[in-house]
Amino acid sequence: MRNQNHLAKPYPTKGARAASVVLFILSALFIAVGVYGWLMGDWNLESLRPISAQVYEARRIARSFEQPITGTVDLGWITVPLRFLSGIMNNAILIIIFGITFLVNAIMLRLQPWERMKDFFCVQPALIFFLLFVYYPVIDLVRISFTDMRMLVADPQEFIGLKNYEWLFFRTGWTRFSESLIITIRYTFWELFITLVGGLLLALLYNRMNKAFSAMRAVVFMPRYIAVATSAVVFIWILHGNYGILNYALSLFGIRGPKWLTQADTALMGILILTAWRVTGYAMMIYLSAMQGIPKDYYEAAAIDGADGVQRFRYITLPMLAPTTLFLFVTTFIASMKVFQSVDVMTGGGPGTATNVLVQWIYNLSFRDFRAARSAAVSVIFFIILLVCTAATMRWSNRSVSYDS
Amino acid sequence: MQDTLLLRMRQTGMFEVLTLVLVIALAFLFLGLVGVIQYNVQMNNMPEGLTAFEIRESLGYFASSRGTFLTWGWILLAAAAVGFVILAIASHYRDKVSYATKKRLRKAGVVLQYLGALFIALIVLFPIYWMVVSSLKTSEELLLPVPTLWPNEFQWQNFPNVWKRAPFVRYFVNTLITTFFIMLGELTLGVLAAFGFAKGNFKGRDAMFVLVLGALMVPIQVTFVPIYVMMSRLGWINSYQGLIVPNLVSAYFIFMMRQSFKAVDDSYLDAGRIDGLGRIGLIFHVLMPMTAPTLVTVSIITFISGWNSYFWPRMVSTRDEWRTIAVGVARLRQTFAGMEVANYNEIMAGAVMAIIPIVVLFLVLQKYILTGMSKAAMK
Repeated sequence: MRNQNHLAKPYPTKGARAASVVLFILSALFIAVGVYGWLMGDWNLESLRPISAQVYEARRIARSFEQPITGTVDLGWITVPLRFLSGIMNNAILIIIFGITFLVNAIMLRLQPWERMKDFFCVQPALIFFLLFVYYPVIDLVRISFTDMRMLVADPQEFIGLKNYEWLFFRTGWTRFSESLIITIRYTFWELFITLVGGLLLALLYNRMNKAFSAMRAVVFMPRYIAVATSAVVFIWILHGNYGILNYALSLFGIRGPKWLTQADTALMGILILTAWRVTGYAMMIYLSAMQGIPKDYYEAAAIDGADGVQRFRYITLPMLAPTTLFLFVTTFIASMKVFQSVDVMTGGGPGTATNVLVQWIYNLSFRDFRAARSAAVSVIFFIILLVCTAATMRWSNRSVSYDS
Repeated sequence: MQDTLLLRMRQTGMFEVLTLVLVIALAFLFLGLVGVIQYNVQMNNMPEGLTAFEIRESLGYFASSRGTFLTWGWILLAAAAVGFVILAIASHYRDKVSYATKKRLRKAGVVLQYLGALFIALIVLFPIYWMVVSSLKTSEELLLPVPTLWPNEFQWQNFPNVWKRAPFVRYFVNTLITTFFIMLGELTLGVLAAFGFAKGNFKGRDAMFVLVLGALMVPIQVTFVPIYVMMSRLGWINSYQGLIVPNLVSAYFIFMMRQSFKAVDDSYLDAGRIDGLGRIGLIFHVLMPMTAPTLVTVSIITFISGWNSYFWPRMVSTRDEWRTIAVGVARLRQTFAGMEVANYNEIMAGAVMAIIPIVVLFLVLQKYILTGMSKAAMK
């Protein structure tokens, strides 16, 4: 009686086999239809054939920014589901994703019993979502970067090979790109500096546990949860060259303040003022919660050895905060490379190109200059930069210190 | 005697700090010197007849920023010098001060800490205060050469005025609907997925979880072009679907919930199964109550980030009636076509209305937000 496996039903059962065969056939059908549609343009419900060049031309002439042209006959409410279906059919990728889902399910059905399939069904919606809105866009981004797509609607596109990358690296794009990258790196450097140094200093200042201090901590911490866009509007007014309160305050000390956001050399500083207001409180809270975790015995031992306050900070607090610093470094680094909201609201990348950070440039390329393909090429490079930086910091962080868990 | 003073100074922690400041100061002065040399070399080789702007543009990095380096170098050098003098005096008297004086000094330090903390808290609070005050001023009062810290007379009509100028009701409704459905989606789909990844048992589970972790690496700032194309083909630009669907599942949420579900012991689930609970029952009656703090925290953060989101709503809403509140307030300036300086009272009124819900929520639910945040940092 050691092995009772023969008592269990053989797997896959007949039902599972049949179901998986059906799913295989369905998936083959869907994927074939979808890939054909993806390669040929897109399926259109009215004609049930790939959209021809003339339809593309008509769309381009119509310049429909918002809605693809679908049924022209107005049938009232009946068109609502019809339009929905047509919208789905317009996206060949949706069909392909359906096919992939069927395929995966068919394989999974053959591998494991129904009880385990139920667990798999739990994660499936999320996975489909990630395929649709995270992984497919990355692939499509690369595809778009090889075409001459202009506007962000179904436009006639042609495959033009590496021309966009050529523009980016060897033609006029390079000056803009390098400029933009340098601005982003400058912003990132200063945001990191403000977050780490400012946050640590504030954590030392607010490291006292009573009611008054916890109220003040809440105040310092709050800006993080106010929308960046809204606080940016407030800071535009505070930083206004002639009527802003900051320049008035500076004038009390006899300093003539610059026209912060409309002056090329101070615009980035103006944005960084908003950033400092937003992020230091957060960094402070993270540092503080880590400081609470440092055992008190260490400080007592150091005090017995005759260490003064600065030395206790230097030899106990700072090393013990190394993992926290690393966490803040990595998260802040990635977030500040992607900075967009504050720049977009406060300067829109201007004046000139003084604050044209990478994401702002990508945005302007596709929504202002209508060069979607070029912006896709820049996005691909930006994505690679982000990935390399993330991987590098992760590797570096794995190797570096962490004293105890 | 000189030697013992130096020794005593070197025993204090401040000595290291001051040495660091000194080194930084010297480095800055060196860079400034490099800048001065570069400046002189470049100015000697400068062709004739250039304008001041062209000269400034053609200078190298060190040459053009030599002033900054030199200024900061001198400031830091002075600070280090002053610090060393103070340290010398202090370490000379260190062992001679009485216990009572030390106690008094410590008290003074505490008072200083209170004052400093209060000062910084007031500075951080100031923009919010200034926003509220500006929203209650007249246009004339806004443009006074000496700004008033308190409005002469409360101008409550700024609020209805801005309400009339932009479809604020619509903004609020859009934001509420969008945020509600995003929260609903993230909660249901996220909790289900987290359950599957934490407690489920199917082939390829860990490989599939890598897909979730990978999704954390792909920001929407990179992929918005294809997503926008997809939305426009679906005809979802300027619609609730367009605002909601691309944010329906969050990898971060799944990751956090999976961590906390994993912490729940399997024996609880077995007990639930014996009592006849299915998967949904287990999630509702066992896992969710046991991880309630995390769940609440993550939901609050989801709500706040949904309310504040700007990037995607800005892309997908090209018409005024589909904007969310964050985008609407940011675009408010454009409605004043160049006249916004005199109308900042109304713009600020809009901003006040936009942040009131978040500030209230933050103050009420502060505790949850804080615990959740420190948990996130521990991971």
